[in-house]
Amino acid sequence: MRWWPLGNRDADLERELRSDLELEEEEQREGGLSPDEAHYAALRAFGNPTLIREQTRATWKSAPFEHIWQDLYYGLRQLRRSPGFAVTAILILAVGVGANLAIFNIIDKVLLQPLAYPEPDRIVQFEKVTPSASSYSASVPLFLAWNHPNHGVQSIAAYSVLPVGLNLAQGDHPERVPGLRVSADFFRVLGIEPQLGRNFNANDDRPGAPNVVLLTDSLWHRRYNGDPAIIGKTIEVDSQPSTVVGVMPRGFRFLAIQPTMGAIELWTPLQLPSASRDPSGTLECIARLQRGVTREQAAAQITALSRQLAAQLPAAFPSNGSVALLPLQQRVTEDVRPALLLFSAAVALVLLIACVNVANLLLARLSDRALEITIRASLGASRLRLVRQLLTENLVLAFAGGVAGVAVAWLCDRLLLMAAPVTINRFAPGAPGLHVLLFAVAISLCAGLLFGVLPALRVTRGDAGGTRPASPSRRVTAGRSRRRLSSALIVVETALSLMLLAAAGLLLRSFMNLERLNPGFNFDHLTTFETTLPTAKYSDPAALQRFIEAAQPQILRMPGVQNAASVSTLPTQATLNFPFTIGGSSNVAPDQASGESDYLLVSAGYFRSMQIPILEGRSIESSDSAGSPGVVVINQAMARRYWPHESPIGRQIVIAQNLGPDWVDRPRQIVGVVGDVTADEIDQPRAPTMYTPFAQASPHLVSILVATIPLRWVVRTSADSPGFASQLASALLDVDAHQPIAEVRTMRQVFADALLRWRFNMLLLGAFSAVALILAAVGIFGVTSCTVRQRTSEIGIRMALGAQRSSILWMVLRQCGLLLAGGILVGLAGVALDGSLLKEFLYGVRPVSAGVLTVVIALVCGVGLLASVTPARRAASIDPLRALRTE
Amino acid sequence: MDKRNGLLQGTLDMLILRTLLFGPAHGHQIGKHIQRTTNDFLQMQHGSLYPALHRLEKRGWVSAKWEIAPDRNREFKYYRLTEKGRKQLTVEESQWNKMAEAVARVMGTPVEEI
Repeated sequence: MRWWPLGNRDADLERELRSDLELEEEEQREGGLSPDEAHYAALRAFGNPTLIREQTRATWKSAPFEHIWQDLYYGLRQLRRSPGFAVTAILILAVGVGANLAIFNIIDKVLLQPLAYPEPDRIVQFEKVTPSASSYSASVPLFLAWNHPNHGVQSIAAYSVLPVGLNLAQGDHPERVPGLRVSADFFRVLGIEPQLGRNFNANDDRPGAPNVVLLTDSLWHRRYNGDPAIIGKTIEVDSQPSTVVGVMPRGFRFLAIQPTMGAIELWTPLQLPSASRDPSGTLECIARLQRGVTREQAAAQITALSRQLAAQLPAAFPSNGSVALLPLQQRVTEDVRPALLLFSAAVALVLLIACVNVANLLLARLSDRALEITIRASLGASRLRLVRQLLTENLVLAFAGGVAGVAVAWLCDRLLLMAAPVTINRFAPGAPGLHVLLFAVAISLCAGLLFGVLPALRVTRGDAGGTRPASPSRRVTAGRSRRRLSSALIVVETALSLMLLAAAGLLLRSFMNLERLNPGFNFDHLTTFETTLPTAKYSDPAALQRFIEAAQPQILRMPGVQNAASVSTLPTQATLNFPFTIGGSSNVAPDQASGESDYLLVSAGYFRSMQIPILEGRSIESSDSAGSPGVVVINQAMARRYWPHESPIGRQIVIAQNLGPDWVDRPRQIVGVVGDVTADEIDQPRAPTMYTPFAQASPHLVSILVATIPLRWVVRTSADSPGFASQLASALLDVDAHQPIAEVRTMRQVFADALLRWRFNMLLLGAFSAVALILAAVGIFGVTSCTVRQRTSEIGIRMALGAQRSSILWMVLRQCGLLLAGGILVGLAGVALDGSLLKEFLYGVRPVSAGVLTVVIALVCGVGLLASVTPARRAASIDPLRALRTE
Repeated sequence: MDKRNGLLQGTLDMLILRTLLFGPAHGHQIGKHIQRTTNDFLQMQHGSLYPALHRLEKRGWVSAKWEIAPDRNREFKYYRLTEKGRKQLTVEESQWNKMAEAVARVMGTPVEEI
């Protein structure tokens, strides 16, 4: 069969060589030899025809290509001849390549691709830096001080830290959509113009200017059927008529902040008061630098401006502070980067294990092919030629694995995004780009070389392949060096799996610790929801209190409801944090006389609804009204920190005293101490916390609260009932016909959502390590089976000499056990490396945990031995007579 | 080329060209001729001529054609020296002479004796 395009030239050479040989033969016969002798003599005089043919062809220019075609053909033929091996190897590679590709696709979309704005490298995020801390938040006076162009900054903009839900109430059903309040130049900084209508301008952004909104493309299509006539129309946003001035282009997103309620759909002007002296950091700032200006240059100017402001308004900017400008991309991706890097390390390990596995399979197979290779070598194939041919075969394998890997990656990404927390899936990786496919090709080829080179070199080595006796099956024991190599590979594989499993175990342990964490209240039958109150209607304390007092009995009237209350933030949600000063005749140390603590506003009945234990004093009741003396309830952590040796009951504190005149709050008496409850971050220790009634909140606080965060509700029922959400919605509509509710979840769901990131990390690493363990088991099974097969006659002899079946079984298992033990020892060294990478992903467990390691080692041993039991039993059941006869 | 006659790589080419100077010949004849004229000093298998012949043909120093042998009723592939090959031969001969001279000097043998 001819598979390379040589045609005549090849036939010509054949004819030439044959005629020479015939001539030589004739001459030898004429010299008096018998025909047979003449034939051999002629061959001796002529040389090795195959080799000569090869060498002659090599002088033809296209020879290297011919070799490649030939090698490819051989490669495919070899794979076709042993489909079991081919399918196993391709599957293993597909898993390894696929996992890497899936993660790389996400990393590519999230970390590598620039933000989808023009010249994104000129967009920067402001960061306030002091020697001890750094923060993105900026106060209104600070932003106004920065907002002077000409400092290397082309335009600068601020947006509200807290995205708000805005109630859209045009048509028959009110709906809450996530919105963001931004300053006039926000879209100019990003470099994005509306696809329809106009951008915000300075007039829109003045306090008291007519209300205007910009819509996203998705909201425009969903709610207004993509009607271009919407521009200039008035819609009702938070009970305020607002004019739609434009629609943003399709696909426009701003990812620096992530509202829990979904992607932002509505944009409104910030309308900051220019005379504000409010030092609270309610804004974040971005800017577009002028061309050719470095971030450091601009930051130096901005720092100077900030220090000027600090001279007039010390609370606005710390005296030792400076301003750093960092790429917006960094801000956008900072909370996913560590997890993605962890994942890529994990999948790299998986790929390594896959390569080791395939290398081992190849090694076993190549030693089966030793005869073939010996024949090729003795027919004149050089070692280089053999290695090249084997490598080509491997690359064929690797390429097939890579193609299958792309399919695996596509599937993985789908599954991943379903399970991923919003931090990752908001980037929504779509189809992989060309460079991702190139990456696939690259890692497949690297894998092919990685798993192929060692076996190919080994098997063609003089002592192992080339000059081996022509009948390797005569050998009684398997090649020692081959076995050493495959043993080493098993050790590596076991070690890598152990590292991955240990990491997954630590994450699982952390997740379990978090899930089992006592939240400090009763989880069961607790439903939560949110109402975003329009600022126009509810921004004074009396109106807010009226709404709460009207809604509460409506909810309580519903069947099965035992208690209900409202609160500013739920556990796991970003909590307000306020300074306070301790007043009155308290004997606290002077440096303890003031502090900062988490701050929640609650309605009467909150502690009852949550079933938070009252440890001392009393809870907040409906009698604590606007007119009655100021009260505050603190948690145990605060009591212990500030009044470690006495009862805090009766002590006085003032909240927000030094924040400025707007904030002045009444002095409050501590009336109760309650148990600690999980606050904003589940994995953080319980912080000191203050609770005050909504009814006694200052007008300024209420206006800020209503403008920035929705009002949360907790409802305790006697049992969970389906359809409760819609009943709740209609109950609230009875209070205010324009008031939608949102985010109806049980408290368990709230916690599960907060743990999503932990869960995702754990699941992903768990999946990777399970794959690694399976691959390791396959590897151990394969190698043990192969060893047993190659040692069949040895085992036969041992048995013939009186070895017991049990001792044969033990011999195979012991060998396997030794390899596992070696792998575990090496792996333990790797686990120490894990620790540093994992630190920030752990909760309640140390990076090197004896408990986790014990379980993981037991798992590796168990699976490893399980994988070797079948081959071991096969070895023990060898019939000595047959083993020796079939040799 | 094999390692054993790697030393003679260029020399073999020259010997072939030199052989063809006497007229066209096929591979077998060339092999026999070289063996005979070197008094069997070059213990080469004449099959190893073919890679060299094909290389020379590729370079255009020899041309090849299937022709009926005058003494037998059979076709052989005859190689003949081209004009280019003739020039190449003089180049190689002068190079060879220079080298032989140089080697001879190093070995302390008078040049005339070669």
